[in-house]
Amino acid sequence: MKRAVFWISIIFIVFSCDRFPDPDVKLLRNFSFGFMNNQGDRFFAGEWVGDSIVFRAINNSTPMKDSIRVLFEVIKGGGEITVSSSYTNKEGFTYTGWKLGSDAFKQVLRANTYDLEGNYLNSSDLIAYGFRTDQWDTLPNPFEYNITGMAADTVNKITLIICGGRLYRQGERYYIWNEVTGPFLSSLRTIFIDRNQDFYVCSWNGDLFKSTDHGESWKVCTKPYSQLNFYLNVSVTSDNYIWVSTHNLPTKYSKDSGQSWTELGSEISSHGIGDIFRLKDGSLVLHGADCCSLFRSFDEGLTWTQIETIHHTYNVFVDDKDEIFIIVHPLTIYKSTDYGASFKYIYATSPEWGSSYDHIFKKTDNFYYIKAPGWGILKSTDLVHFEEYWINFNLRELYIDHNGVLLATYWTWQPPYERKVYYRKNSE
Amino acid sequence: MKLLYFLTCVVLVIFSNSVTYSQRISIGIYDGVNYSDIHRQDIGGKWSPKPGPVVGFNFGYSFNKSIGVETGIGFSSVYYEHKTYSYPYYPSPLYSSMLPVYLQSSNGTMNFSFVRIPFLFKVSVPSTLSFNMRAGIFYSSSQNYSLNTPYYYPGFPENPKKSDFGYMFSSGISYPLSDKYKASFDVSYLTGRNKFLENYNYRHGSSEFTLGVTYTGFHKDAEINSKDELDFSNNKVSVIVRGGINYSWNKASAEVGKYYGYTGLMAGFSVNFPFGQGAYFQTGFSFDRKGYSIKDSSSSFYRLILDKNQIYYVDTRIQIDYAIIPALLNFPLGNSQHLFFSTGPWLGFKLNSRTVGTAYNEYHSETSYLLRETIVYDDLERLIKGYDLGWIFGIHLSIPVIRNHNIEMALQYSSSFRDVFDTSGFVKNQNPYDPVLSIRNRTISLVLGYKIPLADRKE
Repeated sequence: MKRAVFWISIIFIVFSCDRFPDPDVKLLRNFSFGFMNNQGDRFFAGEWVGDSIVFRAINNSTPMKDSIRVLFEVIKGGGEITVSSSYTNKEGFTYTGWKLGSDAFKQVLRANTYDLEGNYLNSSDLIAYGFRTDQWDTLPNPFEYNITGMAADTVNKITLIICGGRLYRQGERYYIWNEVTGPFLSSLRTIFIDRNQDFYVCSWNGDLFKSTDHGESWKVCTKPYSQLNFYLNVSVTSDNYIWVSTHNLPTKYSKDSGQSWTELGSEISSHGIGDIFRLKDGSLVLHGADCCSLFRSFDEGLTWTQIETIHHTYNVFVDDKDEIFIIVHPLTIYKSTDYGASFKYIYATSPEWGSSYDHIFKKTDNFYYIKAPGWGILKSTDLVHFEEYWINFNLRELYIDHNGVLLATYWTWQPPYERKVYYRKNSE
Repeated sequence: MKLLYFLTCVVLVIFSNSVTYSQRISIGIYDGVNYSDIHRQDIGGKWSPKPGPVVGFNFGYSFNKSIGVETGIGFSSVYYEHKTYSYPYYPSPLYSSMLPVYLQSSNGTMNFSFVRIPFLFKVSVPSTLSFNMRAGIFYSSSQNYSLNTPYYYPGFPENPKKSDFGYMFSSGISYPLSDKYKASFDVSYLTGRNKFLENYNYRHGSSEFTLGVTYTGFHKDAEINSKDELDFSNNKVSVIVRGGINYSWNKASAEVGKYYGYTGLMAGFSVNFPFGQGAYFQTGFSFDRKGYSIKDSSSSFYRLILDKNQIYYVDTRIQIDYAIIPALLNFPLGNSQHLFFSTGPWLGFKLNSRTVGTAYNEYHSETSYLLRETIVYDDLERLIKGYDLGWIFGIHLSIPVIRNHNIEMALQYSSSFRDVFDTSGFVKNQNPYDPVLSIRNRTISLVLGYKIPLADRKE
């Protein structure tokens, strides 16, 4: 009996030697996966994405011993792939080909990974954008969302933009932008082009630069306000006069491509320049940068006469027939065929939110596009009949390149800080 | 929990005993080691048992050879060390926080020195190797302390409370060195009842292992007469040392997920009081480990919560240690004096509770796959109720082996009336994924006992 008790005691002592292990976390498996191709690359719909699609798996714990099975599938866009199932090689690489479809602008190729026992590991997506014709293609958070100016040379087929203070030239494809670097090309704000196809850029410090070789090189113009380090409002009229204004200083113009500057009449100094047009009779029609400041001058801007309207105007546009269009808040268009003696209601929209309405008329060879921030875009061939071309309450700015491709932007400083750029290339 | 095993060893080796005589008054000195065992922690991680010294004097007075009281003065230093590792822990995943707190690896220590005065009720089984059990209260006063706490205790430093009150359970053996001296070995379990830090629920606790010498030779008049003894003859009061295996599981209020049973140990003794026709009343004291286990997907390591934010495959055991006091009536089945049916209530005081085991978590992202194994050790004392109450049904067989040696075998089923989790401190049902089950202890015990052959003692 004592022996039995002895052995029972031993068993209990052995049990009592059991220790609870300290809490801990061990990483048993640790893999990284990814496509070697760039995310978000831009192509035309129906194109192959690069020469091939490269996918890699990395074992972060130990060198790769076993292959990883990779199943490729097109998730979005309707494209096609050359290899749908493969195994990684010793270095963890595997390959396929991907031809974009045209079902969607944002197209997604997915790689689903499994170990050799068939256990699911992860899914990685490769995103490519396939630009289409006659559709609005929306890019989320692209670099060009904060474009602040575009100038298109339809003669030489060149388009330049100012984006983030830098200058970019459009590449071979309308969605490709290549930065133009140079001594003065920083902290830029806006760009414009005159009838000689000379480009001008204006900096946030009030400096003006000119290029006569399609943006290849730039020369410094005479600074309109030599003591000022502040941005300018700039317009150019059909006679290649450059018009500038700034806060609380006399409005000026240059008729020699920015070499010298002449002050305008003091009547408009407090209003600045929103838009300005030369009429066929040589007179000028100007709207200031503020409300209700529609003026006309017959003496090269030395004196100005205010054009009275019954409405609160915000902007003006003059077409090839010298018909004057005014924009009335919130965004209603009136037209005058008698040089502002009377105005007739043309069209109205209802923007979701208010904005500045400068440069809202955009003209291509065949059409007028009228941007309506907070509402969308109107289209017209004759400024008599209007088409609600695109209702998009997010719209802020609209630009048109030398090919007639529309580029619209939206951004907000409110959370969640959405930033979008919309491209549309029309087939006609 | 080492205490449980050790006590079992102790009680199992004491049956080569023979009787000795007791004196009414005794005085002794003891020295040994304590292992810290902090109670009611708020967060996860492991408080490691750290050794510290203990020394003291005790004074005993015996009413007879079996029953007495004991007091004394003790000095001890208790060292607490907390080990935390970087794994997600839900501070109170029952009902409050839905998001895990990621604790960083960090060690903290708290050291205390105490003067302690116990007052204990003592039961002895007289023999040459005498078996003693004590239970009672103690008062302690902190003489010194140092706090070197982990960074995540924003409330520190603060001044610990100086005095404490608590419960003390002790068991041991003594052996006569001469007519006047006895050597003793005792194992004690102490649990404080007062929070010693204002902003936390921590309570002192430790297990002590001590060797001592007791002097009993004061004067002849103090010798205990035989008429003062309890009658431990075979037909009257008897003491049975017991040890066994508990298979426990939870009786959840609904079938949710894969809860499983848990196998733990129990050890203790029982005292039988016959009251005629073979029936007897049985009480006693035992250390029981109950609990359950989980093998399923869950965001909690100790109850199934299918929180989709963080899902583990959990393989853990939830262990709750109780000091159990039963009150059973035993009736012979038929004319047999060997087979008995027993039933009655039980009361269990929680000693420790924890979750141990492993948990696996797969993390799939667009750029990675991670498989983590988490070694889980979390104290759960704050979440488990301080006591449990239930009912026992059992059958037990008393088998005479050689002469008056009896082996007892029992199969018992015990149920609980209460949810083991203490939800009083939490806002109920804040975690929408928690099915809010009421979990109750259920246990089947297979117990092997040995009836101490008091008939062998020298009268």
